[in-house]
Amino acid sequence: MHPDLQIFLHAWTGGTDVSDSDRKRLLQRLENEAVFRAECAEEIRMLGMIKAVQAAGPRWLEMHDALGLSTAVTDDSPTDDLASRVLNLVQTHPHSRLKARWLSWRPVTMAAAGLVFGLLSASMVFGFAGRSLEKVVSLFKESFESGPAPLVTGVPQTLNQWSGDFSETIDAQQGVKPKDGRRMVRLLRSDFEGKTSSKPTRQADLIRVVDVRPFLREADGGEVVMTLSALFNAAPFPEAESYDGVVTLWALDASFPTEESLMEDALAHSVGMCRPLDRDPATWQSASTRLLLPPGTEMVLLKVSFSPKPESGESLSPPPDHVTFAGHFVDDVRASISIRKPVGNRRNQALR
Amino acid sequence: MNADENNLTTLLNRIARGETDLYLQVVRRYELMLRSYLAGQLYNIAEADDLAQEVFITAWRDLGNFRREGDFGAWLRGIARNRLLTHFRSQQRRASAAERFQAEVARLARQELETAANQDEDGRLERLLHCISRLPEKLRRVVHAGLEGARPAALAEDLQTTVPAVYQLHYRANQLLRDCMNKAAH
Repeated sequence: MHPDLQIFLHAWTGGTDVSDSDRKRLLQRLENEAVFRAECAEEIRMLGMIKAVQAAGPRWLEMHDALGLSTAVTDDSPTDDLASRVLNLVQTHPHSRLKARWLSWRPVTMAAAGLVFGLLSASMVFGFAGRSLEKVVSLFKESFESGPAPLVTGVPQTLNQWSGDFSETIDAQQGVKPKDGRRMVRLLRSDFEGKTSSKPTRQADLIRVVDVRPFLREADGGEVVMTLSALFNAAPFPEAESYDGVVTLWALDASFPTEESLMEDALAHSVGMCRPLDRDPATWQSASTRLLLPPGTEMVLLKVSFSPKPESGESLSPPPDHVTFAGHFVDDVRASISIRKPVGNRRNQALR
Repeated sequence: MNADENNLTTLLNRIARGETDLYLQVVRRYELMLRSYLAGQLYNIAEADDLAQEVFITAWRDLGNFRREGDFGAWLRGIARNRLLTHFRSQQRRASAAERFQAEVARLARQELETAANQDEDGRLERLLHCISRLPEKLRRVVHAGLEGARPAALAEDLQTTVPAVYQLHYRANQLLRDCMNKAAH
């Protein structure tokens, strides 16, 4: 890689320390040198593709409005209800009992999967030009209407339990109305009850761990991709402040992680952001991400966070204790799993 | 007309007859291509996603103008191209030097970017995710982090290397990803 290509990529990805004369020189080279132009185009195209493919498709609320559709309508939701219900039944049991529960439900789940294949075959084959089949299963659509409020004890130690930093489940507040239903979660602080880590963070997190072993088993060598999305909103905050809404997926093996071990223990992770959050309490903004689960994944940790950006000139180092959030809200968190199989496996599956 | 195009034509005809929700299937099919095309010219994925939404809304409203025997992806990219031009024009006054640079690059390299997008066959982008997962650990970390803003510097510190070395690693990763995508295609 020659130095000009590096400066070009730095400038193109928003580097602010590139001089005007360097920018001008690079643009001149782009204009006059076809080889340099082709090389730059190839690199930025790859960067764009990587960006797009690692961030799941957004919710596009405006498009749903334009089409006159509810945001609850997606191309997979009407027909994956049965599979989703069965999987929810399976997954609401604690970790220690999960294996046995899954085994006892497995025939039903496979039947549900068959129903999904049957009903959705056209749309599932669609994106893969006949080479593979995709089954999409909704894991959950959480709008915090009922059920226990998220725990405030950091990384959950039980499957399918919301936990994380200090938060509360509330009705409309500070001019922000829940996007879905009557309830939403307000994240209050960037720490949790009994936090012992010596490393304070700026980010306020809501976390859930799900078991994905059944899906990897079902994929039978195919690809399993998890998608996570959430909606973010905030009461008006000072102009000097800036916040990102962040969703993260961490693929994990058998052991439950701690806050400290997450970075080291994870097999893979992916991040999606809505940045920066606007100051309009009437608009909800969406962030989403997806992760191809590597072999050996048993659980996935899903994290929904608010992350304040340091003000210009402020150090990037974490604050001494914790950050307090004045009015930051999360609603309508969704997770789904896509199982992609080569077409050849479909016949085999039918014979099982 | 192949089976895939037949499927699309059937779908578009059903949408035209009022089955609006089927349009989400069209969006699902072309979303990755369109977002990737836009992100290749804007890099900021949130901006690219906003424009992609506008493109899908425009396409929805103009669906009657799409000739069924045409290339729907190319038609969407045509709408996207116009939206990009409008976007860059509207940003011109308040754009930062970095944003003006991006707009100029998009203008100068348009032909190359268009040609590359036209040559992409179905499934190539889906393969990219798979190819990323196969990268060696260090390269995968660089690809996950991206090159935006201060990230190369932060990553260089994490990996105990230099910023130019991070760019070099990403460059190498891009080469491996292209190879992997091409191999998978054959």
